[in-house]
Amino acid sequence: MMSYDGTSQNTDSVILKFMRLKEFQEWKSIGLQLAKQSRELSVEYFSSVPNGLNSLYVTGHQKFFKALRLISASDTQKTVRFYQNGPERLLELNPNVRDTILEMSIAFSDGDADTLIQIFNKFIAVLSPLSYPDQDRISEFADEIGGISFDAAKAFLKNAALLSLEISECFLPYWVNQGLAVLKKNEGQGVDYFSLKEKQGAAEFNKWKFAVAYEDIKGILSVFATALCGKKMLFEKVDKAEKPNRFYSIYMTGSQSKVLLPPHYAIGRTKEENFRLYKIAVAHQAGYIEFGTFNHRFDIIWKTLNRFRIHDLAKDIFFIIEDARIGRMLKKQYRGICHQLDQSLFLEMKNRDSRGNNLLSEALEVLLCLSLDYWPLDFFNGKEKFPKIENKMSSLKKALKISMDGFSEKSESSWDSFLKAKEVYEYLAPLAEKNSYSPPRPELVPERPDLPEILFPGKSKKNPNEIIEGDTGTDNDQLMVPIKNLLIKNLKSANNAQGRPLTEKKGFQSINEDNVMEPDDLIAKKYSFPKRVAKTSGCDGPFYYDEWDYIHGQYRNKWCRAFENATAPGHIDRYNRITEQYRLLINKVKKQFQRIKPVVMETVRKVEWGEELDLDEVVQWAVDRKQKRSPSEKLFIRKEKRPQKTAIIILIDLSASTDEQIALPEKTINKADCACMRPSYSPDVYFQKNKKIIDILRESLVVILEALNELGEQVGVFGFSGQGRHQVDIFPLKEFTEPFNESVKGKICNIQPKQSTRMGCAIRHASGKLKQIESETRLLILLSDGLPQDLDYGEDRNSKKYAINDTMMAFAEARREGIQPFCITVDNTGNDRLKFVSDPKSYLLINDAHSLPEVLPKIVESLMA
Amino acid sequence: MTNIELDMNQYMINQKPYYLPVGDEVEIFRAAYLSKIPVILKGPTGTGKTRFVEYMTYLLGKELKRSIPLITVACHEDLTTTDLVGRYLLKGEETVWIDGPLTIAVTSGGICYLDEIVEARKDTTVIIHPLSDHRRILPMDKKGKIIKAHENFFLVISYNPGYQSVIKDLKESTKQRFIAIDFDYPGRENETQIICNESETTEELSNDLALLGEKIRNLKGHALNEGASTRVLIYAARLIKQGIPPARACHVAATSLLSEEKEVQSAINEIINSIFP
Repeated sequence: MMSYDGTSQNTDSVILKFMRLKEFQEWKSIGLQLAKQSRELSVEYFSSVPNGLNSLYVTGHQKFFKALRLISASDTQKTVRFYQNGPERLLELNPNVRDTILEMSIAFSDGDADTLIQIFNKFIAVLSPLSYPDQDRISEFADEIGGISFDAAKAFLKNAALLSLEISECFLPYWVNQGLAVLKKNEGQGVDYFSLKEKQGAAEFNKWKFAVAYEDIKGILSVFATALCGKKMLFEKVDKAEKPNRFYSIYMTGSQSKVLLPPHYAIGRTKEENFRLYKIAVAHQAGYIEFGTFNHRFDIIWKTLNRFRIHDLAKDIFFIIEDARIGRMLKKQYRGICHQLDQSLFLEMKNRDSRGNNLLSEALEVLLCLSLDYWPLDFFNGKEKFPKIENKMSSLKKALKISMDGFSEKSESSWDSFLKAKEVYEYLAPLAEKNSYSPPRPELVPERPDLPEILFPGKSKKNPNEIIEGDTGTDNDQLMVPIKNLLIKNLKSANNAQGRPLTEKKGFQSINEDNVMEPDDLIAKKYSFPKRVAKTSGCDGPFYYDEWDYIHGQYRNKWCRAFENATAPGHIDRYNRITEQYRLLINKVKKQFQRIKPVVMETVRKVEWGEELDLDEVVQWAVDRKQKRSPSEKLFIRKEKRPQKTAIIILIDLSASTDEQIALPEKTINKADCACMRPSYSPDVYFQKNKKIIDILRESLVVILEALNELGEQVGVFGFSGQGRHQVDIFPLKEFTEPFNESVKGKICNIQPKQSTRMGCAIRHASGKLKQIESETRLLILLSDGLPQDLDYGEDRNSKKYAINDTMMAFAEARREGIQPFCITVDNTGNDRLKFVSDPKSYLLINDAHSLPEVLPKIVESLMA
Repeated sequence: MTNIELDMNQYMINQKPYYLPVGDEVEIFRAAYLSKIPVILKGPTGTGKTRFVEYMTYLLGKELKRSIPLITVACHEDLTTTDLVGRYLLKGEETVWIDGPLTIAVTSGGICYLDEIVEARKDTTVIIHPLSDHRRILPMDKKGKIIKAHENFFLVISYNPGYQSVIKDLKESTKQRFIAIDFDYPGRENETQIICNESETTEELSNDLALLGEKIRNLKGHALNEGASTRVLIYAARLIKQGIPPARACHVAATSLLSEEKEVQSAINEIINSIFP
């Protein structure tokens, strides 16, 4: 704690450096109130600036003094202690939750100072051992639970550490929401639920503890599916309750290239059981391909099924029978899977809600059981489960049994299933009411039909993780909804703050003064980003990267998610125009590169001829001779020349700011002067009107690629942009393995300004690419037009420190991997803002953007040499 | 200056090696041998290229009723022309010439098998050029003479085009002196037979291993650079025969060798667990 002697004037000046006037007045007012009661305590108060007070955000100051005011009303001593210790204790928490904790402490205290301090300390004690993201989640939930019952929130917080440890972050909301539902019905039961005393709470706890999320195992499943069916399958996460698939089925039905899987499994008693459910589901859908469901006859089958009067019923019957065939084939082919398949089927059937509310439904359920050879089994006890068919249609049941009897042994192909489906259809079609067939909405995730829709705090409704390869995605409007909600929420919180706009705010998603406008305008102007390329064309990924958090001195694990998005090739004419304009420069650079083509001299020892004798070998030769052993003839050393392999990756910032126009040169410079200054290319290039940064970047790329192509080096070119940490877009313009052809040229012509600049993630992605290339020298050249900036890339959008530190760390990581990074910034204003991200030898600021095409080859040349 | 005499018996194949023909490779090889056209065997590792040469050497010996030596050279990047042709050695005060494996094959009329030829330096591989065209000669610079190849001399080279880098590809001028026989993994039935024969295990186990091989090979180009070779499956079969549980045997023989990525290893283990009860 810093102490200041004498009057409070010294303290005033210190506090005013980081506190707004309004909060400063509150600070002073509380102090004066103390002075009325105790002179000593007031002196103590005024003469000290508690540690951590300067680190709190503006809203933190407001809430802290609000709590302090409340305490000061009843206890002077405690007020001073809280003032001295409170800020430092708050620093133990995630900056995002500090305000919430203060708010909750005030709200739950009911105006009582002792209770406030007690709750505050309790919160800190519970949350501080947790990781920052866990603190965030737990405090949000505690806030929500506390809104209904303070006791329940207390019980929840008591178990917070256990919950964070045992239940994955993606499943905790399910457990909490179930508890909230209980709490709303009965407070006592709700409190017991959150204290894990109640049976349901403990059962739900165990359920979600062992649940397995698709996201965690999709990599394994993907490789597994490829191995089984011999082709790369696309995976799509589908919530069965949301996206209708066939109801009368155990598994979802994918297609020839797609596997549909639920977002999680939680019906197993252990993690292994839940994983096995996924495995069997994948094996089953891969089985459609492996065992010929979608073979050349499938078209005929499908067309014929469509011609049936109740074609949906016919299709369902076909797939019930075909699924059973696939299951049998799997058991036959993979002996090790038999037991797992039976166990998984048992679990699925046990948890299956038959919902046989009419004769046809019951008959189909019976068919399902028969097809799976589960007739009769305990859980399928006809009397209780299918009363209608048992009582009134036992003859039909018998007919189905006779029809399916022995079929499993005989069926070999999907055609057999089709023929059997035709036969069964004849029995069941008359049961369809009014010639229509509308199966119930599938709810094949039986563990959560009654759960409300759950949103993670601050996250969009549609989790982008759901979009896997090949997903057609949603349209722009759908994508905008959660973002809009988020922004409105943030705007509200910004407007709630009094006085000046927020400078440092809760989370990395807040907005600043410059951004404050009507929500719709804001969305339209700032976030009217184009429809994701990933959804319409080739998209690779996601790739997850850590991010350096300088504030806490640690990496945020898998914080950023990058996608590689294909760029549609533009018109090649543009490329040709550029090569023509820069013809002189290109030729010059080509010649220069040829001259400096790097080679390495390699010393080769133990050779039969060479420039000089290898003394060690000669001595050995003499020794060998003396010892009457056969001496080696390889007594020479020679130097051999071989070309040095260089791999170069050029990373281009495609942020929205590259759309800015470049100022024309000073009037005093005329074309003739320019020609003298830049003899390498036409002065018209220099004086071209309305030229943007992106145009210069494009031209520079053309020049450098033309030259490097001549040299035969391995070159990769990638653009990058994005919107938030979940959507870092990488645009491969030229992969290392890709020849420098028309397609690449077209893509370079078509680079466009996009959105934000999350530089660290892009550098890590590029470094990863470079690492895979076998080469002696690896160069990473970053072309940017300013600072890294993104939606949640720092405490707020004005704070660049976080982004710069992360970029700096990404460069350091690249260096550690043996990559030589170089950062070129084009900035007409001459702001040297990126100088900290790299050492001076690896950084260049270009004030005159027009000079980039000429400068870039020189840099590459110097780096290669 | 003397020549060291060699015992040619060491190069003879006296027992019939097991080889299951899967196509017309035996006929092609026989025709090439009789026509003195050198052969390239192309294919992934563990598909039976070396075994095939041994088998053909034995088979042709029996058919032609003469002993054919097989001289095999495992090529590597330090292999020099001298290593192939021969060198002078100092023996006391005398200089002794010792033939290299290529010279032995050329003079004795054997089959010279240069395994993984692309591993050798390009200046080394050109030594086979005059041997592999109509001239059939071997220039011996150090001895200052040219040897005419024995009438029965035959040259076979092998390489795996899959994992060689572009730099290590064969020169066109080398390639076009040969005919090529492609090798690939056998079908499940054939592979079952091979595993069964080589490891003396049951047909059921061999079939399961062949199925495993087939499934792992589906990952080539996706998660793996190379599929599981028949050799690897035979090793697994032998371990299982010795009492190692199948899942463990397959893991040590295949999974942990094919990939270092935990995710891929887990997936392969799941395939193994699906196949073996």
